[in-house]
Amino acid sequence: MLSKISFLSLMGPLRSVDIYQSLWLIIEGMVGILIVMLLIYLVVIWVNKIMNKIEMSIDKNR
Amino acid sequence: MGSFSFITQALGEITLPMVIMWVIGILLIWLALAKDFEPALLLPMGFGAILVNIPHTGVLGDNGILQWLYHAGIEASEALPLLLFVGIGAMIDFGPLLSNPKMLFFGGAAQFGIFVTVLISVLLGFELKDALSIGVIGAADGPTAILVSQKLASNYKGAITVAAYSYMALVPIIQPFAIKLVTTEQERKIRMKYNPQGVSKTIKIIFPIAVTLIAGMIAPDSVGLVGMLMFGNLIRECGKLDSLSETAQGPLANIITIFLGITISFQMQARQFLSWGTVIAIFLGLFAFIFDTIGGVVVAKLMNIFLPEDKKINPMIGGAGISAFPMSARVIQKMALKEDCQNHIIMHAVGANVAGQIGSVVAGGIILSIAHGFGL
Repeated sequence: MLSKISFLSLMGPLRSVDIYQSLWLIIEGMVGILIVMLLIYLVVIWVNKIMNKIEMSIDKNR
Repeated sequence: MGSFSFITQALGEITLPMVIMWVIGILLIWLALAKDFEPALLLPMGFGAILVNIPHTGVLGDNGILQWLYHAGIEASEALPLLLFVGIGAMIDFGPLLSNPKMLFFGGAAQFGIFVTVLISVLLGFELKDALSIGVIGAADGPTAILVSQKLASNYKGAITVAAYSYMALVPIIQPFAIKLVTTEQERKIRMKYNPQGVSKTIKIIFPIAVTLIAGMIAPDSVGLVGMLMFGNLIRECGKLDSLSETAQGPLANIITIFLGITISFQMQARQFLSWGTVIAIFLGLFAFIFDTIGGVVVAKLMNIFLPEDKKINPMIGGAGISAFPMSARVIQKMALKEDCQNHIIMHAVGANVAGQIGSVVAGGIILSIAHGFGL
């Protein structure tokens, strides 16, 4: 029933379902960005660790 | 003998909206030259606004150069903004970010303003495609704003582009205001040690490939944006293509910039541009920038709750996570020095700022993916 409420806003009609969609959009968008940044972060940390190990073993062999 | 009516034909068809657009064009040129507001884009846009608002102008119509450039360079495949990203990618050094990778989270947090602005736009009654496009002003990235508004067929493409580039130039005014709203003097004085990890050439080569794959898996619509940015960066970092890197950073970026600025003015014809929606959209862009800054700062403050005293983050670093590089990093450094003349946080700020470059293109791609989910 709540989704059927609508009123006229400054630039056009606004339904309550539009508000829910936008709120959900904020969550989806920020979670999506966070997931991408987290994955990139983990890849950077992991590759840095591997490269450090390789460099240490090269130094040891010298 | 013919009449001389052709001399006065155009004069007789000048309308008030056209004259207003001439004034707006001259204003943009003035901002570019006198105030140094992104002159590379605002000057061509300002001049183009005059060109497209002359009666019976030869730059429009089927054989008009601006119409052709717009259809071929933007409408058909968004080629111009995407190719510009190749040049931008070749200019970016991700070293400060790779040596301090937790700055990535500020690059993500500082895109918060995009989504808040989408909500505000929806509440004001804008259609969802326009709300999403207006929100992308907060990406603080001109090509992203152009591309997203074009792909979503927004009714306010011209306004969104003008707003994106104008507010990027206003970062030194907007950010200090927003940061002071949500921080205390004590927080702004927090000193941070800079202990960078070493950054190998290998990781600098793997990084652009990994970012493209990760972003592409989560938000396939971001591949165009992220892919071109990372392609340019890969050319720079691979070490074998110095001449291509120099070409991308220099001639390519300059040529595309020349064409992009003047082509965008196709959207600045009076009948499309002059509306209350344009005024409100431009105003909403300011909110996007403010909430971007607040989003980054608040995330830094939240992280500080869990960090020991000697490892706390100066929350202003969060504000550097917007895409306006390198201006935002410089603004943050200046604010830090103003509070404490010994507090040098520039390298942290640069790390967050380049992370914002990634965050903004990822955000643009996510907006497009979400829009597809809504059938746009």
